[in-house]
Amino acid sequence: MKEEILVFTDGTEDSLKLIDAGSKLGGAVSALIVGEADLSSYPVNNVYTIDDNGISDYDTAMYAHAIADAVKSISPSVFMFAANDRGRDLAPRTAARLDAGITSDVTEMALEGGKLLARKAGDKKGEIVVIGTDTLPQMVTVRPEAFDLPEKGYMKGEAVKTGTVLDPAFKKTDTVGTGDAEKKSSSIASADIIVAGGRGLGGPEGFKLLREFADRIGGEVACSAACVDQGWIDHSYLIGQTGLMVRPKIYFACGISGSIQHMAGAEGSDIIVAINKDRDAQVFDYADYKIVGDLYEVIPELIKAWPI
Amino acid sequence: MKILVCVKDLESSDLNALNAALALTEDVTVLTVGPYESLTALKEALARGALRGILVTDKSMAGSDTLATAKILKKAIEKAGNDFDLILTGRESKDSATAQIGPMLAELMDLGQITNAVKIGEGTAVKEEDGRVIEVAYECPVLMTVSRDMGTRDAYVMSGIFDRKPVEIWDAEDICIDKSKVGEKGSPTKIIRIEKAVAKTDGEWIEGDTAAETAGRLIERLREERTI
Repeated sequence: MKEEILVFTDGTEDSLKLIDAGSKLGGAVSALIVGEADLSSYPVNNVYTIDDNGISDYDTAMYAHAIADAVKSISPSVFMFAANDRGRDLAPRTAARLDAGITSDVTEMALEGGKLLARKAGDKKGEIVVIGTDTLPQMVTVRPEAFDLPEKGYMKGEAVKTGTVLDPAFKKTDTVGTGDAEKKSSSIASADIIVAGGRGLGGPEGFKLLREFADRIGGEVACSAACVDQGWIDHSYLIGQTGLMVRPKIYFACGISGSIQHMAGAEGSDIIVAINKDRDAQVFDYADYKIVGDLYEVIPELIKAWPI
Repeated sequence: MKILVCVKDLESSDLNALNAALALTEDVTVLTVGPYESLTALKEALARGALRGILVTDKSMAGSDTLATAKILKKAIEKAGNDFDLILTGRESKDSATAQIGPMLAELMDLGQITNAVKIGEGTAVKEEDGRVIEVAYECPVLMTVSRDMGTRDAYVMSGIFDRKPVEIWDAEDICIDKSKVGEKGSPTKIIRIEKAVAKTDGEWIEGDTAAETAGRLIERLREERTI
């Protein structure tokens, strides 16, 4: 029997990418939605619906209540949420309600004998930790950047009512108003070239050189966690497990040691160029082109010589 | 107003959570679950102005995952009086997993939750969610996770008052928690195995006698590869 993989979607691209993530595990993917969402052309088996009871407000407690009830009746083997802000708000609460373990921000996973194994950067240098859960459903939040939108096909998922209804009795907050957030460095995610700096910059002024280089070659500036921790640059520029995941054509890692946590956000790049003074730096394990040298000497030369 | 702040360390958004709490009230309790070394973070929190510091530490708790940690926090909060109007946690720490603990704790305590709060007002808070700002009305008690974007990270540190405010240290018995539900064994998520990250073996060293030569060679290679 194929394992049933359930994904929670709200119709956003982030959550639709879970269908791709689920398909790659090789099981039958079904979707769980609240209210209505048109999933008719996506490759899903069943579309389980929770009745929204005419409530348009989102409240985590109320949603977690309903979702946990629905999931108990569906009893899937795997249950996924998108690791976006909404998913990070809702998934852990739902897991606690189900008394189920949950692994967060997964980019790589596989089913081995029905057991969902997620591969994540470990605390120790060069280590990848493979995590599984004892409880059912096996829950994860999945980084949408690591997966694609599923191809639309002719498969029509069968709509299945779970019989679960959003219950306002469990609602604990009210939405007063919404607006668009200030846009922050959103251009990094879609840039073809990224020039990222790390601890080796030595200080915040190092980003001036990186910015000059990035402007010259039509790229965007980003950073590793060391720079954010030192207060050199805003968190919104962070690439890595706790920041952005990117897949540019060229990723310049400048003065970056190359922790797994950082590289998790950059290893999908087509070409990684590493510039570091330390020949033993871990970043060279990931790089396609490796330059041992002072970034303050090499980058100005790259700026001069870069073809127009 | 009585606020409890759950911290792991003070390097991440936990510090924003503490600062946010101190901006709202003087009655701030700081709670940490972790190894004995976490005492340092709690002492720093007291030096920054928190009234009460509690460390929950027990060998049996080592290796607790997020759900087990949330269960420990719940028990500790019950022992601490369970009379907090607001419970704050950082939104994330260096390991991304910690963002889970706030929502889990809210569920276990049956509280309303507001994650990624950027502004906390009386009765309403503003959160950011996937490119939108949302104003949410809440009733106390409530749990919020605090965004890195909120508050300053360099709050005033008072000195020389460590001695007057000792950190309370509790173990598993003190908070009456079932040891089988915590630690590595009691945690539903488990490390199955540890693998070595696979190094790229076909990476190419680019060398030159001068930085200009090295830069030139890199550009040449990128052109050959038709990357640029």
